[in-house]
Amino acid sequence: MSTDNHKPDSVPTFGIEGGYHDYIGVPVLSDIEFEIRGGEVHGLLGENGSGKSTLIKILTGAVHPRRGTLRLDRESVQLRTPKDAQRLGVGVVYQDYHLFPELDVAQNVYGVNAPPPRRRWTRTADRDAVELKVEGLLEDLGIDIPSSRLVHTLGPAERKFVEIAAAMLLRPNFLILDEPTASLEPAAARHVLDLLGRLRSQGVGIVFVSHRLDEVVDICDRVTILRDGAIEARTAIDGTVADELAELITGGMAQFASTGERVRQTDAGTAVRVSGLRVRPGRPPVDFEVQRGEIFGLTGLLGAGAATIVRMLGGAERLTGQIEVSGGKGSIHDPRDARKMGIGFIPEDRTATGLIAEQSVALNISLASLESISRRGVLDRDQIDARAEHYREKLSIKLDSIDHNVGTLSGGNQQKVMLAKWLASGVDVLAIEEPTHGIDIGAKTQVHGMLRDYVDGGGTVILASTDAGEVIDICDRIGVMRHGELTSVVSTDELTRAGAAALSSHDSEQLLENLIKSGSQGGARVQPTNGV
Amino acid sequence: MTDSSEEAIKATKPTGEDSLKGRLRRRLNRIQGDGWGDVLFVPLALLALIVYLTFANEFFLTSLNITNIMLQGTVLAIVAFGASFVIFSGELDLSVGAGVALVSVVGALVMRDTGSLLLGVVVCLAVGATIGLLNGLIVTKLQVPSFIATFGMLVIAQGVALALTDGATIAGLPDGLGTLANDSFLGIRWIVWIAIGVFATLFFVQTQTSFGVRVFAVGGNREASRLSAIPVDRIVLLCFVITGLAVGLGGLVLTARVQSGQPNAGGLLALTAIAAIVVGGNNLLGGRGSISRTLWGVLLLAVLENGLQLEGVNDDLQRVVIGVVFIAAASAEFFRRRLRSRARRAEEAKQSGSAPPDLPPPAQGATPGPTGPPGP
Repeated sequence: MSTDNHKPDSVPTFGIEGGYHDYIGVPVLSDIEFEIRGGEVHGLLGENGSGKSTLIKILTGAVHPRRGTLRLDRESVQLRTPKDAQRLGVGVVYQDYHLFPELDVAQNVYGVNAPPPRRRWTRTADRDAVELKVEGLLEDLGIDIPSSRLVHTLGPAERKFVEIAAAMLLRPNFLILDEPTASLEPAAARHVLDLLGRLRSQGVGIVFVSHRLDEVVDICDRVTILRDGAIEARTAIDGTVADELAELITGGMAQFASTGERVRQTDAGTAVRVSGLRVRPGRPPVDFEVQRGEIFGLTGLLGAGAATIVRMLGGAERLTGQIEVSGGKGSIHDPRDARKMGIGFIPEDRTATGLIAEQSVALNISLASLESISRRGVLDRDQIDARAEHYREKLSIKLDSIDHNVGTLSGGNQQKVMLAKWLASGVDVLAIEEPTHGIDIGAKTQVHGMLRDYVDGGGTVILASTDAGEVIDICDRIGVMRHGELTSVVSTDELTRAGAAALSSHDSEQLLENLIKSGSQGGARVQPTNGV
Repeated sequence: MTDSSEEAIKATKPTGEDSLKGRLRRRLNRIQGDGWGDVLFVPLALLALIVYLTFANEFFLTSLNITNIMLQGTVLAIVAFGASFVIFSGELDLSVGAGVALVSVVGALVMRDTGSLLLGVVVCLAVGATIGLLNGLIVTKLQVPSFIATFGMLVIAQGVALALTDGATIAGLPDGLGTLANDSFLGIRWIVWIAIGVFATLFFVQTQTSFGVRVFAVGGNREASRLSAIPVDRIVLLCFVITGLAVGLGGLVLTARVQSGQPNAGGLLALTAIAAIVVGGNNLLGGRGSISRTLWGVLLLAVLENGLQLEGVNDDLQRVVIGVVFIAAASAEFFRRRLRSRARRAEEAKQSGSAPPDLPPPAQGATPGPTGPPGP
């Protein structure tokens, strides 16, 4: 569409000027100018932790920026709650599904967004009217789903349709979508993109967040690229090719090629051998080996099984199949079995399953290693404090006092506390689910460094991550999961080299994403490697 | 990988922080973490009540009455100390009152028929521990919510106690039992010493053992505890057994005090014990609290009950007052939480406000990018 500065007044606009925000003093956004116009798709790109979600939350009234002015059609507006945004015609579709699986499509579309029409005399909710209205809406949007279908019978793309329809119920002028295609197969994603195209032609202004560059090139009229909380670039899409975009997003990606020469002890021996592990019934079993001193990353689309394998290794789920750790066979039914075999598990969800939020940092750090600091069950309490101070310094955990509740720390520092918990216990293997999910860039780099230190000291890390950039950044070898099957194992060196040779020098992430999406097709250039 | 820094940790210990002053400061920090108002609220309320009763009733501060309060409070204290552990671990035990009655009946029967005090004590503890063990097994192995499991146990224990005695009290107990209730050591009755002993033991378990730490971990976040390789079921089971042992001792003390087996003794004991725990400021949902808070709660309720009796309030109205205090205490927990989160927000506002507003944010490691001054 038009990138012209001259705009007719009739085109609605919405955006923020001079936006700045921080979380507990850590700046996450600064100097943000961002605008959506009616009838365009505006791509919002950036790595995880670059500030995209915060910007979205500001635009939808879920977060109040510390500084900056929101403008709707050039007029300054205040968004105190998400309801305000809704009233002003800003709709949002979040990345995770927010649906009620046991209710039907009509109830899901209508239920949460507007009071239902009432019957004239009884004043009870008129379900017929709801259905009629929703059917009309679905027809307008070109969505072909019966309004009486129960949502749990729908596929992932259809569910996304329902969410988009729900967001469109109040006919917003602007629609913000946070990675609407993230967990979809390419064909399903295509349908969602088509729907967005139809909305654009109806004059809706769309913010489209995605990690998939081909989609961005395909559908966006303009893109804004965020990096480390600042605007890295703004550009109209025509003439900009995906390669240039990739460079803008990852920026430092070139350094991966240079630091790609990783020192690895090939003769260190096998730390973990897994065979016959079944992620899903009816899928081929998964076998792999991980060397001592290695970081092995499992990646794939959400739900492809990477996280499941790591959870099984950590005992969070029952492990099906055989496992050997340092040559010793065993079975893992629960986390205690895993611990006995020398495996510590770090879950993705820090506050819900990773930490005791209402207990002190010191206790959380010692939680998995109380035996070693107690004699016949009687604790050496000074050791708890000494240990906490030790790791506070070693992992540079930022806090006022080790006696404060761990729930008051930032995400990055909580992640470090979980790490400290297992470092203190002296396990040989760490099984980690999304090691840096939702933490800021600085902490992310630090956590990566800590994992490298850990394996350099003789430990072994097996992690699951859906963040392709992260996997390339820290793993020695990468296993790509697809539908519960381990489709290929590549070494990062090879991937980087192949990426450099075959495409452009910055495209190993793209190559990996191809691998994730299509299994063997993208991997044709990269031979699966056995062992190292 | 074994973290070879273990020695380094040990080496860092004696530098300054180990001195008495350092330790004291740490201790104060810990209390401050809870907030002084939170820690001192119940003791101050108790003090106010005592001051009021001292002036309102000349009989209140006599040694006879103080002994009376202690004797009346012992059973409640012992049971509440034990039940605190179940609550810390995030469970609930409604069966403690009926358990005390059953222990009292079985213990009395054994003592009457054998004439042996020692055997009676052993049987009391065994019956109590068995009730606790059964509760624990039902909750952990059959995965029955503790509310249901212990409510079932309440009905069962009550039924057994009544069936064994046809509802009558059991008299004719050995003389040694009377000694326990009526003789003193250092001016304090033996049964009060038992309560003090239970408190001291459980205080040690709570603060000085790895089990104590794990109880709060399990109560605070069960899944996180499980994933940290803590034997969650065993911890919960042990908490029920501890409560059961306390019930055994409570039943023994009750039997000694009234010199008979009491099948109807349970009454409101379970709820009063839970009330005392909550009134003391422990989190009813587990994960946060202290046995010393339970002590304050027990003292407050005991003094309150005594005061009501001295003022001539009748039994039924006393219950009403206790009920009101219970609800007030539970809502105090709600207000405390509000207060805490407000304090946290104020702190946050202070922190963000303290950054100079006109300067760009400090370029830390987190923002290596080009960050110009924000704002127009």
